[in-house]
Amino acid sequence: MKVQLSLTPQEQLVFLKDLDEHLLQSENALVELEHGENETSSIEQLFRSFHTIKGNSGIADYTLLHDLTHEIESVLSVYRAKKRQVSEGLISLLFKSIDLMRSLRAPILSPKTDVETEPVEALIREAKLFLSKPEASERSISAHSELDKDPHLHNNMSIYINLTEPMPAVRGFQVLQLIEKSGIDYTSEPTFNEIKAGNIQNPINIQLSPTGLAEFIEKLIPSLSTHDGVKAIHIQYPQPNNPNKTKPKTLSEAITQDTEEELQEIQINIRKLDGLINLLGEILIDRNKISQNILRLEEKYSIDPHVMELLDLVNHLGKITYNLQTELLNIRTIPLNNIVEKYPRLIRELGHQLGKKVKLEITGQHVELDRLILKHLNELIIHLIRNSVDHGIESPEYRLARGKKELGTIRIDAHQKHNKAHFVISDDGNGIDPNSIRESLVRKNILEKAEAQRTSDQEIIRYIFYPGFSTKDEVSEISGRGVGMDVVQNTIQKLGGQISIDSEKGVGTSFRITLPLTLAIIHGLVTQVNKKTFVIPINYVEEVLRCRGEDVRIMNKKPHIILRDTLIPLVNLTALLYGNNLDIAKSGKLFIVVVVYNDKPTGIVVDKLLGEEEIVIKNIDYAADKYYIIHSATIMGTGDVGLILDIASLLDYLTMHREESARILVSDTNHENTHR
Amino acid sequence: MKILIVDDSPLIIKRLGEFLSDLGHQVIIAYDGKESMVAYNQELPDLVFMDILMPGPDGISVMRSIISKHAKARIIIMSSMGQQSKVIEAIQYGAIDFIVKPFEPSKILLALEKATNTLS
Repeated sequence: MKVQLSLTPQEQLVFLKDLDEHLLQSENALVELEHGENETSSIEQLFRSFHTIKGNSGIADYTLLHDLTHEIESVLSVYRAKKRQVSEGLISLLFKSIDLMRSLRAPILSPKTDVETEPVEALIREAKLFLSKPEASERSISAHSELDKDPHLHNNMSIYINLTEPMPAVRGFQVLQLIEKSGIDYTSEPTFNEIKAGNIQNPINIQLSPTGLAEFIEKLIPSLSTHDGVKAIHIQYPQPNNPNKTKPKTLSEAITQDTEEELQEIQINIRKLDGLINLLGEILIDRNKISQNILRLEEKYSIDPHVMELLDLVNHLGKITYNLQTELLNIRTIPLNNIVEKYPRLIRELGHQLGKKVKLEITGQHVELDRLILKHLNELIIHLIRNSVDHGIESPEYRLARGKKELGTIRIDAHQKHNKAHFVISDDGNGIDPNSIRESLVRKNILEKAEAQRTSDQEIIRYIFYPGFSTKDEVSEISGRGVGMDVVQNTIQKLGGQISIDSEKGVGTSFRITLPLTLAIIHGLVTQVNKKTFVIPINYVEEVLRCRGEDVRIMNKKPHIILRDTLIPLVNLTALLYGNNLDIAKSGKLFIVVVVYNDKPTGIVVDKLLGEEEIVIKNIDYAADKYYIIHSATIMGTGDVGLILDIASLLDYLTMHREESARILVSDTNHENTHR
Repeated sequence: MKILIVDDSPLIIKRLGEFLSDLGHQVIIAYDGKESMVAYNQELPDLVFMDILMPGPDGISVMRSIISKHAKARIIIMSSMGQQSKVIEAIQYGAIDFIVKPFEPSKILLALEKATNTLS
């Protein structure tokens, strides 16, 4: 059988987008249902999604999809009417149909493929059988309003009455009368009768079922929002199951709605956008060059009014380009929701495979990040989640025996602060035992026994980021994919972020990840080492010092300086990168950039400070593997290539190879060959 | 629009009547409930401004009897401050809106607008 093609390509896209969204929402509702949470609203969500898909596929003439959803909808309507209690059987049937529906998606895109009708027919038969066969415990229809029972179900709405107008109670009454007449199931505070008696309170709180809410928005919001007695309407959606908007009922409505939204939002091909960002990069480079030339001119003709005007102009240009770059980079950002909405199902599958009960809680889905960062973050979070389910969360029996809740929780909390995205990925599992890490470190000859004993628990736990370290000796199917926590840490650092871990035995583990919101352009401190330009990302820089050779103290054969009673180790970049063993203690003037990494300050000795600049990052992937302390490259205002230092890798390298020379890190050849 | 104003106060009738005529509406007036019912049946106005408190049958009962015969009658209740519960009752029995005396022109315009919207 061939799938009929009766939609225009554009309609097809709308159809598929809608289908995907509904499948995802169904899946998440199903996971909740399986945990026995928000039963009524989950069923409601499932019913609505299947209903919409059924309607859409009917219009689109996707017969298989239509027949399947029709059957499942009939099953769901029984549960919606609370004639039966949710069972394992129902949940597995629903998961099966969602998977099957997803497999029907591909033929829609390429209509020439033959579709197997048999699996669909089989599932329809199974659904019919499922309905005909009575389940153990049947429930009688409850006489109560469904709102009375499930407090999670409510969509709360606050309607603020305009109190500056005379007779606010009448206004309130008008509002409630509108709702009352619409026939929508609701409860309110104050109640209809209280307001009728003249008792008003501002705001009026309305509680609606999710379907009631959709209906409310459709029928009443237009008249209420223009009602002169209403000041504001505030709708709160229940978390985490939030219907963002009313779902269009038919395909044509969907298309109209989408077109309306398109007027506000257009899709941009990411390549076009990157083209723009690259062009802007060129402008920035030119601006920096112009600015340097003007500074030279200023030295020659210090009070020439034309030079002064040029200086003003280039400063202004700088501000504009800065704003332009911020705006452009913001276009590249997408909300976290794009990746996390797929996790509940993932966790369910993992849990099933491992015989564990786990649920996921997420906050801060709205935080927006550059799509490239988000892509990497996705892999990282999945890795951490796998680890959590595999090693962190205990078996239900063990948890119960330890007085914990049977259902383990993994949380993803995100927020945005100071131009950075912060994530905490935590579980309430068994935590990490520092002693087992100590043993493992000693066994693998990474640490001496005495040193392992001396090191604090906190620092010992950090060793899980050490390359090749793994506490589980056997490789499990879930998390043993040859990727260790060191790779996680590396990826985050390459993106300009940091990760830290906190774990308490028996209580749980949490990872804190900080990432920049955008990539492409960084703020850097430009320095010179051995006549070459090096950029230190400003987010690591604590302060810049100028001191003399005699201020350097040698401790443990290593140079240090004392800054406000703190001993700070020094890194001589010239010696490190070019093997030039000049004794910095004997030099006259020294420039030291104090960077902070893992809460520890380190002083980086450079030859010259050239100032701060907005640095447009150019990819040097080919070099990044060879010289991993170099993050990437840039073209400086002078036209020279500048290398951006990867501070995290540099300092990690030094911690690990204290005794070795690091000459191999950068070769002196082809810097200039970096592509523009 | 053809608008019927019902009020026992000549001053209200004069001011509201002039305001509505200036806007280009055809204004009919009635000084009490009985008059207004006769006027309504004869003229079948598009809209009624009805005082809530009048000698004889009061605004609400007049309104109810008009609506019982003309289900589509559109009546805006006029009241003074402090008659909130009466106004609620009026709304409940089918008044499309209310205005509070003394009137502000802008409020009358709003009420007219609402009436026009329900007309279509």
